[in-house]
Amino acid sequence: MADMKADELGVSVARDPSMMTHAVPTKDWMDIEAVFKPGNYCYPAKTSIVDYLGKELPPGVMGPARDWDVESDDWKLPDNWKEIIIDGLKQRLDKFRSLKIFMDCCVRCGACADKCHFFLGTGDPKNMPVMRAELMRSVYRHEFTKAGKILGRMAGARPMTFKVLKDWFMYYYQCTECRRCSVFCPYGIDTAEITMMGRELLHLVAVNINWVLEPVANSNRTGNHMGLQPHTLKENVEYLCEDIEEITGIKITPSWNRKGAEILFITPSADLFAEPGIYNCMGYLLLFEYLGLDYTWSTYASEGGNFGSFSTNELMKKLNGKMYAEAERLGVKWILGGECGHMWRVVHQYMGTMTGPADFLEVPKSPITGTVFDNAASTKMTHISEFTADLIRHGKLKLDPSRNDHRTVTFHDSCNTARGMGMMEEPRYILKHAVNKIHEMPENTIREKTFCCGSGTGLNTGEIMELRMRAGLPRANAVQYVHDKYGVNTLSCICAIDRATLTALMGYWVPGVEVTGVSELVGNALIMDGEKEVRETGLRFEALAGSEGDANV
Amino acid sequence: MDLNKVLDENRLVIAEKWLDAVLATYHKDGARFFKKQQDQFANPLGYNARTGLEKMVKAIAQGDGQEIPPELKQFIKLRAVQQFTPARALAFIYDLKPIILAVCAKEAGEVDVNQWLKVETQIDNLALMVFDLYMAARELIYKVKYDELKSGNAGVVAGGCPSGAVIRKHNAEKMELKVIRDC
Repeated sequence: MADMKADELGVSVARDPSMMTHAVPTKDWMDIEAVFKPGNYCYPAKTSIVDYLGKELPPGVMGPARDWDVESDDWKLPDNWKEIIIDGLKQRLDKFRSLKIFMDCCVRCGACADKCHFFLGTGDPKNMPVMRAELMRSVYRHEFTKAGKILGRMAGARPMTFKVLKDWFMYYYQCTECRRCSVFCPYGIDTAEITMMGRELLHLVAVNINWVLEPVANSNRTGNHMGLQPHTLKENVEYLCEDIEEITGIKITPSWNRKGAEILFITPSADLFAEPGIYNCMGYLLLFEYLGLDYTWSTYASEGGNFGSFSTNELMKKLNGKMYAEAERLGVKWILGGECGHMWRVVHQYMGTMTGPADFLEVPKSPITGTVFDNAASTKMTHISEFTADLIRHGKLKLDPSRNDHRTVTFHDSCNTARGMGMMEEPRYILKHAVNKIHEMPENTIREKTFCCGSGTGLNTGEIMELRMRAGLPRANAVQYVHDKYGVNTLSCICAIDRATLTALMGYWVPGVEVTGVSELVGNALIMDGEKEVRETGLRFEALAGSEGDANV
Repeated sequence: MDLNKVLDENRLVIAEKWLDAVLATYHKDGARFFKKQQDQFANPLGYNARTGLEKMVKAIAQGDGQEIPPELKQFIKLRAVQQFTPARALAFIYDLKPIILAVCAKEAGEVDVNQWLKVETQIDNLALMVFDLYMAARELIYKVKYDELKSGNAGVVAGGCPSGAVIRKHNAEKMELKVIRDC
């Protein structure tokens, strides 16, 4: 009798894999079709946005604007869409040598397979980096290699079909271009660049997402993602200055669009309007006031983020160019950049040959310490963490780390600054001087092996929140560990997307952990001349350790 | 014969079979990795599933299945965001019954039926507790979405005039703050 019950139960529980993940394990990957359903895809860009951007770009780059439904089997593609994609691929193989190499040189060693956070959170084999690349390689082989043309599927080749296009849209938007996989690849294949190419090709037939393109359109038109107009930007910073005065007693009046300033400061606009970035912005404002820096904000170059880099290189170039055009117009000597992720990837890796070199500017030199940032000789743009670390190194900042004693901090290396520009020591150096209680996450989850927040490259949109939570699992899991072991309650980082998305990630996985920028912690610790005798709260009006302060925000 | 003792002796075999049943709900290439990689940071899903299930089996074997280990709690949270239907996300709890019966088949006949009932009741209770956890996770997801909207990070595609929206939001917050302080 017991055995019969066992059999019954064995059947009743849902073990059939085809019922589970919408994947059928017994099938070959080429035969498994992507299934779009609410929550696993981003909304397509509005027709008006595609239309607007299409007019701003060379013909064809943006594809025909139209309303289309991701879940339907008719994406209203142009009749010759396959031809457009194959021609686009050919052009890019000729233009970008890296793509050609990446298409040819993978040996399927499997080193990358389990390094992707999307794979770790979903178990979906098409989220293995090797497979993500294979989605494009299979078409490349079919169209451009003899073996693929002759042997077809036996050689891992397949023609471009609607099923392939669906795969591309599904999985090139389940990659945050974080490049963790490339750290482990013995050939250095950069899956991020394969994803970038995949997205470019999708844009050629206007298969895209709104969360990327609307910010791009706004940045192109008004200078920042939100489309905030000059007066609003200025007012927002004034609000922050009011809060600073209330907290510290220091009155700050920053300048805007001031010609002849020595330095132009550019940061992600999220630092001006969204929590917790605004607290980081207060940190910048305090630091610059402390130094008496000759700098200006700009309402036109009011966005460090470059969502263009998540769509096509033409848009990336356009948005990057705006920052430099403004620097030239204002006649500044160099640019200081705030805590941003992909802005730095673009500046550090692409700007030099794409927009620059910016020879009309000077190599950044700290007016306080005299340090020349030779690493920015081409781009003329220095990272706030490099700048601040240099100040601390020269003993130029009076810091009281005990003002951050209410925080037990760990540091999340943002993918773009860690792997995209090799910045791993500077923020840690700053934290060591501004914070007393710091604990690192496990070695295989930080520095060059850092796990992505799970929502980069324009995937920080609400309609895929569940996807973001599973993609962010490895990061959250490491935070959970230091939270449980050391009582870590603060996750610091130097990226605006991180500040926004890790807040949601912590909200789900590790409630009780707040997300801060590094500059916010500097702002808390900085002892300003003429400040209030006792600082009762931190920059977000939170009570400090040992204070009975009013923490009502 | 003491069923708890039998379960305790076989708990590792039971936990492994239970883990296999859970991992069978993923693609085989994913499941293979989740089972093989032992590092808890390189493989959070596999680690939480394996450790959570092992601890749970041990607790049930000791007649102490009222506490769900933290690893299993995390795993349930993950199942709640993995595109399973609620029933399919949690069906694996009931897998434990046939697994225990199969592993302990030899001894089964000699065990008093009341002992079986106690074990079954623990598993049924576990299913209910896990259901609560699952629902709490789903509710949390909606809270996280709401909080993100409120934080301003979602303002990019909110529509309307963003400049006006930011000013309105800021003014509203100032008012809220003032009210709180005045109280």
